[in-house]
Amino acid sequence: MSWGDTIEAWPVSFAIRESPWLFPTMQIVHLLGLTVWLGALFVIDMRILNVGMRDVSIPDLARALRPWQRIGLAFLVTSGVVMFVGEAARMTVSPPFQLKMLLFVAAVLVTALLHRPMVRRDSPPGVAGRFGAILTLALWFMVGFAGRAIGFY
Amino acid sequence: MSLAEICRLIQDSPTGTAIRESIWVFPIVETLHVIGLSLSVGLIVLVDLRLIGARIGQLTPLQLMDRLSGWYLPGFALMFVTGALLFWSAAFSLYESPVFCWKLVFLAIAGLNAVLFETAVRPALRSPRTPTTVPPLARLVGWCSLVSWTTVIALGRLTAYRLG
Repeated sequence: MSWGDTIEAWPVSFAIRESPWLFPTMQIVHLLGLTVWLGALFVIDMRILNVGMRDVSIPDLARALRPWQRIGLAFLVTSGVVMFVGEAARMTVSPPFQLKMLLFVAAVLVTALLHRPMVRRDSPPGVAGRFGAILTLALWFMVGFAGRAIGFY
Repeated sequence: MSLAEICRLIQDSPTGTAIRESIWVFPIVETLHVIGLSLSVGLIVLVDLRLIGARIGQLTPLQLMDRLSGWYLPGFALMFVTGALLFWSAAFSLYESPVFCWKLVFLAIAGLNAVLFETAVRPALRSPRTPTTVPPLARLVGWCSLVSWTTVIALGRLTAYRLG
């Protein structure tokens, strides 16, 4: 028995699958979280790339958007975990899901290690900073693309 | 000709059929429609939050809008174009979907709310006599935008259940 099957055998997984409204609700919460998380990230990264919001400093902008980013990410992770538990067996063998998780881990690492230190400094970002901004944004958008592909595969 | 027949013709047109039956076009268009949310609604949400009292640096709501409109206007254009292509491929199915009908209602509310912003709120915010706090009507428009767009997203996700 694979670990996906093990999770699906949990009573909570069964309850998630059986509920007629839980899964659709979680998909909506996931979509709302994506909207807020990616939107705020986009604004910060465009600021780092110096193509918008030039009259707000990067740390000020990041500080103002941080609560909303946290809410967006909390929406995404919570609903994502619930949906995964409900469909663990199908997810663990789904190539788009595996790709999404790979991209997700990469996106989290790049955001935590490259992005976060950068938005705390007030100095103008150099080439590395700009590269970090593009990479962060590209990775998170790719997470979104792979996520949408799960439903089609 | 009834609206139902027109929707049937649109769905059965060669382009509608081609989008619907394509392995790649439909998923890619739908993905762009979903990802485009972050560039349209995701940025408008920031303006709404500013209108209802959140702080984004020292920016006023109008300053924030000026700085974001270069992104959210193309974002909304992307949503509209991809949405039209998705509708093209499924016009009759969507005509029969009550959820999609409600989505259009809330899209209209969001649109009228934007018109209200442009005609009543923007002039008030621009007036030098307006105090630094956001006037009540502007707050109301901010809340209305947040609620109507959230509902549009929820109903949009539920619409896809009907088609799948």
